[in-house]
Amino acid sequence: MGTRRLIPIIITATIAGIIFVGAFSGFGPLVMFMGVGMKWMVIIGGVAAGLGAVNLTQIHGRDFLRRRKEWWNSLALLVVMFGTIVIGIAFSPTHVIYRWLFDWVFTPLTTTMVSLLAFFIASASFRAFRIRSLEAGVLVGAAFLVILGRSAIGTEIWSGIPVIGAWIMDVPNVGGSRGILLGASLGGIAVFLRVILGIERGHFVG
Amino acid sequence: MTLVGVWIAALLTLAIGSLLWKQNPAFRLAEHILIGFTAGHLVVINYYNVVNTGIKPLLYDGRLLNIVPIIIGALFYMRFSKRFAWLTRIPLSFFFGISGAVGIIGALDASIRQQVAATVLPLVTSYSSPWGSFTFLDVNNAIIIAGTICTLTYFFMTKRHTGIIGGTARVGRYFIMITLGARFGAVVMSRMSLLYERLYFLLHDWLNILK
Repeated sequence: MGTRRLIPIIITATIAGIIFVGAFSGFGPLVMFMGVGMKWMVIIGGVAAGLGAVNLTQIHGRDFLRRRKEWWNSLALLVVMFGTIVIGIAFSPTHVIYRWLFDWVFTPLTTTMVSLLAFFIASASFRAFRIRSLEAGVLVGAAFLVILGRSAIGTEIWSGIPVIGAWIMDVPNVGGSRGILLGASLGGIAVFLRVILGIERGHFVG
Repeated sequence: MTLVGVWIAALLTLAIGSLLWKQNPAFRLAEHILIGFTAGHLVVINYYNVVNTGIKPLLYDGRLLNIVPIIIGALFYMRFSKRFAWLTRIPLSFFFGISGAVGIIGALDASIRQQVAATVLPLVTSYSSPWGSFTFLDVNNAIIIAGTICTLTYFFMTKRHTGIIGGTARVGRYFIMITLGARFGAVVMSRMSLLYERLYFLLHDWLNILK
């Protein structure tokens, strides 16, 4: 393994090792290192965040300059992005102009985009949830009861439906969710350990 | 200003909503505006994070060590150079070292210890009345405990799913199906409430049809 690959693995393992020892031993200086590490994460991530803007500028700047198909979309993206950056940095994110942009541009765009997912989820589930087995029937039944339980029509059909919907959310759903969370956490810990020990190196490719 | 805002918000809402009809230029324009604002907003938030956490303490409190993460973060930009692109692995290694260790510690506590503790529930409930006290099996708690154990058994891949383990895993699969169904229903309803809010905005704030 070349030095260029070995150095990052050594850095990852050393930092993670120090944080582990600090967290489990409670040794003052090492606990302080953990706090400093968290602050460094914010700074490193913050500096790196500009990379996204640089990438977008490269891609959409090229599309705009070469007058590619629908170049005006690229122009709009760049104008809005740099406008937001200039206003946010020249004034502040709490300034009245920035808040106006947030309330009247960003919020309607995101809420509409997310709300559209209701239709896409519903149409996708219509195709995917064909009741071919008992398990699929249980899934569809639980979803149906929760949806009916949370809508006015459910109460109109039978007053017990919201009670059943709430019971599904509070009892079997809690048991299943805990099992899934525990399983996923154990899997996540295994993946993190592989990364820290340098067994998983996919993120260093390139 | 509010009237202009309402009109812009309404037109952008309609542009995004037009995707239900089909992909069209209005949707793509609104989509690009959303990406532009999101990217700009991220840059602004991170700018203030770097200034407040890194640069101000460096300049005004003499915390010279803060220069290190700034330089490490700047190494990400080496990806634009073919010769020095490998240097981007240094900030990545810091990132994975810190987030991996903190992630494991957090998962051990919040996702494992606390979840196990919350699953240790009483199986019997006592009820006192003028005619004496009664003890019942708490069915709900029993279902939660059984659901957690059975679902975990389903993820137990190092043993063949036969016999008792196979039966428990099969029950676990039903719990997973109920959970996925319940989550699906909850997500659909949350998206629906956002849709109602958007429709209310269009009909009440913009068109003034609803009072």
